[in-house]
Amino acid sequence: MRISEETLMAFVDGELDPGTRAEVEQLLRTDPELAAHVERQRNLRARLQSAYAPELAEPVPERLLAALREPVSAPVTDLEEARAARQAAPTRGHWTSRRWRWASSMAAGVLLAVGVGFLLWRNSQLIMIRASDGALVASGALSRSLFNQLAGDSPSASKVTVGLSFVAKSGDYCRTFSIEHGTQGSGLACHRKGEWRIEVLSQPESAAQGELSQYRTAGSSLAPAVLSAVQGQIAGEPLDRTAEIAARARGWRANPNP
Amino acid sequence: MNTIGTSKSVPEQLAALLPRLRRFARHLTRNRDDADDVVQIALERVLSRLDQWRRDARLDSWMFKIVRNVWIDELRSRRRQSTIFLPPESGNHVGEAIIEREGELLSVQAAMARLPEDQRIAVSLVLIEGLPYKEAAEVLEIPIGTLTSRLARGRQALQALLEPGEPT
Repeated sequence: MRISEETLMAFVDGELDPGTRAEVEQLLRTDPELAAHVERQRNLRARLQSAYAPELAEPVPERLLAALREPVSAPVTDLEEARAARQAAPTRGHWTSRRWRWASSMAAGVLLAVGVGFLLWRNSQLIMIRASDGALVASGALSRSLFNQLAGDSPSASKVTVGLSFVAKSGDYCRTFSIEHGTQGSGLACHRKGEWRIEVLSQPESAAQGELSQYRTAGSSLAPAVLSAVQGQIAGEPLDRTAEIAARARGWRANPNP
Repeated sequence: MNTIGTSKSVPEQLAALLPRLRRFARHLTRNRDDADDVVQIALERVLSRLDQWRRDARLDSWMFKIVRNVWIDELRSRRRQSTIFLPPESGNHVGEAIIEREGELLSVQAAMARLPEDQRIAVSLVLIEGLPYKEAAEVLEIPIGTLTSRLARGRQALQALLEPGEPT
């Protein structure tokens, strides 16, 4: 009697019903070639298991144990939410830190080219950034927030947080922003002729690092590329709340005496 | 061990499963950092959905399936946002330290790394994690016949790589 390869494999894997298993065992006793074949299959299985057994003894990273101790309260329905939850938590994953490294290696000029991809930023079907005369300008909710929202405020309905406002060396008002809605990111926009032109965009957000942290404000999490752009453009100090309210009242028109 | 009547809480059972989940995720992602990220997200997902777990189902199979779904979601998201991620080869790759020379016997890990993804995952679930065919097929959402054919091809390829002199 010939026995199929499939049956032999199922035999080695313990998948046969008792009757068929007994038949195979009977055959193995009388067919040395078949027995050798089964033996090799068993060896392979044993070799795989022993090769990967040491991984079971590796210490489990603390962040995984912590995930079990502190279950997220809200149901996580997709990866973006999970990321947001992880970024809010003290235990950070590599996906976050790797994206941070990506951001820190980017020069501001390069970001603008990449920025075309961010036209896809959407909030309730509204495109937040659009192209205008070869430049990227804020639109929709982002534009409204840049015009109206004060730094650090994050109205519950808004997906945009304005980090800080300042007068650039050009005299224009510029504001940093971060968007947290599905896709997350941060950027720098400067007001010119009634529009907020996007100077820098960065997908990964991250806490400000090192010497740049003086510009970090509550509620903002700006990519290092954005912060270095701020440092390159800022004239003087960031606006305080009173100055912001005054600038907003003037429609963010450039300061006549920069 | 994962059925009704167990005295351990689900988080305790999950903690006991962590080493296997990480091991499976490494076969899935081929990257240790990604593997741990996938496991972490799977844990968060599962803890918010415990009500969906059928108590008569095996917790390990259910977790393997969630781990796989998280990875599939991540791959989709990477394709969508391909400009914002590092290329996959820049990560901490499983098996990257293995030096292969022609004629030298391959390590089991190096041989596994050469398998096509479908076969690698099937071999990992059945031969390494020890899932029955039925459970492994459910994790992968494929018919049992598809699973066994991937397993057979994976085994054959592994034997050819690991025991090049022997007839297969």
